[in-house]
Amino acid sequence: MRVETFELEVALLRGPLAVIEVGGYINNEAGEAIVATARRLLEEGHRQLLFDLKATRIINSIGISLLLEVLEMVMEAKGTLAFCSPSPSIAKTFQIMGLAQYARIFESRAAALDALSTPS
Amino acid sequence: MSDVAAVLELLRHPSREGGADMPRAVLAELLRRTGAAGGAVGVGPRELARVPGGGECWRTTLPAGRDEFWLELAGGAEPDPPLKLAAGVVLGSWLMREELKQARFAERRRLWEVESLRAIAEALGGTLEPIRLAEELVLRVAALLDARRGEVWLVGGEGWWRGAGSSGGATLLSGHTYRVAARVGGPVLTPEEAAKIPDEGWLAATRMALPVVGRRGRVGVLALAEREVRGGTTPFTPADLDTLSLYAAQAAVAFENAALHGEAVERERLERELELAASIQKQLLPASFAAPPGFEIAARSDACRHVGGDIYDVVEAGQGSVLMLADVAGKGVPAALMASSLHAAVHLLAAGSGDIGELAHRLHQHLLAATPANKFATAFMARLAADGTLEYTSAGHTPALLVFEEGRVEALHPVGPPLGLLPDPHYSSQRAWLPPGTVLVAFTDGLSEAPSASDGEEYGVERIRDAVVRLRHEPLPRLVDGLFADVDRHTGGAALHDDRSVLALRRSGM
Repeated sequence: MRVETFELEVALLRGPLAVIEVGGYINNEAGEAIVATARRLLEEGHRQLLFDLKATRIINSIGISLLLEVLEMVMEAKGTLAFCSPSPSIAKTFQIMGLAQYARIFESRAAALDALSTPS
Repeated sequence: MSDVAAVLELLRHPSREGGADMPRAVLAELLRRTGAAGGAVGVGPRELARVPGGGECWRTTLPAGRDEFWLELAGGAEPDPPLKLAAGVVLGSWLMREELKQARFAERRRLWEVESLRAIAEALGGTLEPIRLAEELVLRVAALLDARRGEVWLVGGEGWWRGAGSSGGATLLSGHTYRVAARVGGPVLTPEEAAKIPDEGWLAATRMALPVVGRRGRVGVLALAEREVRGGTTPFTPADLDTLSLYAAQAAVAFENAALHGEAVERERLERELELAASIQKQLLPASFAAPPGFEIAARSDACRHVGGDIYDVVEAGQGSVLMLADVAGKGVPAALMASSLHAAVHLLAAGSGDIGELAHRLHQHLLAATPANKFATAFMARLAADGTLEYTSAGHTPALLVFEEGRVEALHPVGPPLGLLPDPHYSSQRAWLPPGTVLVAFTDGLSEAPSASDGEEYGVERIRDAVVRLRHEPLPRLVDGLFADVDRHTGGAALHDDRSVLALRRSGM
């Protein structure tokens, strides 16, 4: 039985890009950990934050509000916030809650890395 | 940069750390510009930021239009009016922006709730696997109600979700099995607590639970713990329990559908197995035989279920063909299994037995050793010699009938108890002679005890005797079918209440 325990790991740092793998339930506690990690990475100069949600199946409204906070931080830093591999349910949630309007959403990490490494 | 411009510059960074520290930034700028050692800003009764120090503070208002912002600075310091106006504009702009964000978030959250309800209806309707249903349910419910932990229990007397995959043990309480089928965040209830949730649900500050009740009773329990807010938790409310009940109602239908589907699949599997068993048994009950020279043999068996406990065969055993018709006590699969065992035993033992009584005794011993104590079978067995001599025995079987060409009838009564019933029975071999044209008909009690459609009167041995006498000159298969048809007329074509079998033999003319 999967209990959706939260896990977070910075999986890749390459120039301005940071890939953060997130697994489990994104709730208040998890969201705050995401905010703290995002803030640290921005302070370290990473302006492209890609969150890989492959191992995430559930997010609540507190988690969403904290991701919106990350979005504001990234936008203020004139950076890019991206998500990849969201479940259909989470992708729909991002769309409804407005995250998809400002963050970039990719079906896979490969697609995200490809797009983010290409100057826009 | 002027004091006013420095404060207005803050507007360019409206969302530092989620906007939470904009008041702190404004206050810091005002302290810097006025030289005050400490102070605070707020709106109405709410303090937004404070920097301690500097002694007693003096409060002044910051003009901001709609909102009543105030400023307290230590040591009597006070910004000039343009600086107060700039601070009020920045704070007013910040507050409106925050309110707008919250309103937009609340509006989108309501849309998300509606979408969640629609999505869960779709998800629950899209699967018939109980564990997947439970997972969908717990993910949706915990997310929608901002619960830190959640779980779905499945409840059932017989564990209706059996075969749905294993994920944890089940607990038996008050005759019902409780098992956590899906969980998020961590445990919520103990099995004992899950078993005690009342029908109307249970609401406490940090936990709430609701049973999932279908038409056949309680099928599950939804449970959540710790309703989250930013930075902590807040108690669950009756409105939360109402929301949970919306999901429970949907889940009840979905779980019931899953249970019904599971039962239908199981029934279908059993049906297929029974059809296969019936097909195998049919192979054991041929309708025609290679009869020994000078004889005709025909047989028929109709089982009242897919498979039956009647068995017959004709076995070539060196000293003459052995005929057997047996009726195993009981019906359906258990009787069919025992009938198959008896059938195999006859084939194995027929050649090595001296007289037919010895064969009966050896079959009796086989049944006694290989079947439960309450299982037995009646059997009529005979060995046929080419000169028309019939050596026979009957183990508690309904009397077989010898019908001579002129219409005279002789009943061949049992000489011992059913096979497998008593510890040490004796089966004697009896002899009869069959003149040419004589018909031997052995039958099971499914024919003689077939009830009339009108008054329940049994068809009886007398009617069998009359029918065979009437049909004795017909070709043997037609005689057998005619007898079955006569029984059918008696019962009005009603469904069989017991297996019906006939084994018929005729000694041909010289």
